[in-house]
Amino acid sequence: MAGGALLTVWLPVGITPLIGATYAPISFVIVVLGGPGKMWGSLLGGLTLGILIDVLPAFGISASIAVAVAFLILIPVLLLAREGILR
Amino acid sequence: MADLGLVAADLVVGLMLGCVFAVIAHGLNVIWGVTKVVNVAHGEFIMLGAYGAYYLNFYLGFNPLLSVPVDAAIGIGVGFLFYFGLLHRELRGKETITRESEMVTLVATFGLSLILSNAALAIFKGDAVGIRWAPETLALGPVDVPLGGLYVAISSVAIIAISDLFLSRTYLGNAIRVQPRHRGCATHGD
Repeated sequence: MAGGALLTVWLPVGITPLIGATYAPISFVIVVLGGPGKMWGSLLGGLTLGILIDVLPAFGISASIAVAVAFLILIPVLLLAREGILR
Repeated sequence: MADLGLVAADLVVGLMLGCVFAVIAHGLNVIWGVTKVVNVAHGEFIMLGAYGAYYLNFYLGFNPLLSVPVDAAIGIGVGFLFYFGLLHRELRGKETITRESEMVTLVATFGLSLILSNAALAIFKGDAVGIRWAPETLALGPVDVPLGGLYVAISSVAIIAISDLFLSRTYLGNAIRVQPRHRGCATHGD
């Protein structure tokens, strides 16, 4: 829940009862990326997703494709490193 | 080739967004990664946290950063309530958490997520709300860094660091970490 408090700084207007549906899948992807149970893994996974979602549009890739790419990197990660990218 | 200044600005914003994602996922990492409860209702807990911060700001004038510990304390209480309401009957006295128990936690928290989001829709209504708290920006070369996002990034890294230290260094943290895998060790201590 503390994360939600920090989220309000990020979303000046935009807290609705349905934002949970946006952040639950992202959280699951981040936890799997970093490796469940590894605290620093969630920071690494979160930064990976955040940078991909924000930097790809600067290279002319549309923002919705950038979100899809951020989710798609889960597939190679699961194939190559099932315990997450953090050793 | 993309404009370098634009890429740098997006990288800074992306790093800060990443820290927000990280601190949101951190809660799930503790619930799912450490205690092995597949909490599908995590997004709804985030939503409750956001509303908690909004109402603390609305009625008491709390700054969003100040409402983080208050929200965390409320979150512990709410989590305690839901654990004993929904999951305690299934998980009580288990040596290890089996696949069947994981499915029970998944289905139970999925139901909880539907209840919470629809109850929130009935109580808070569907209007988007928010806190207008935006400190000035910090000019760092060609990039304007919003200070609000910077404070959020710093606090999220601090929250993750503190939880990591708590889980790996303290006696209680080690007991929590060991518990889902081998309950015998956790209760006997070592």
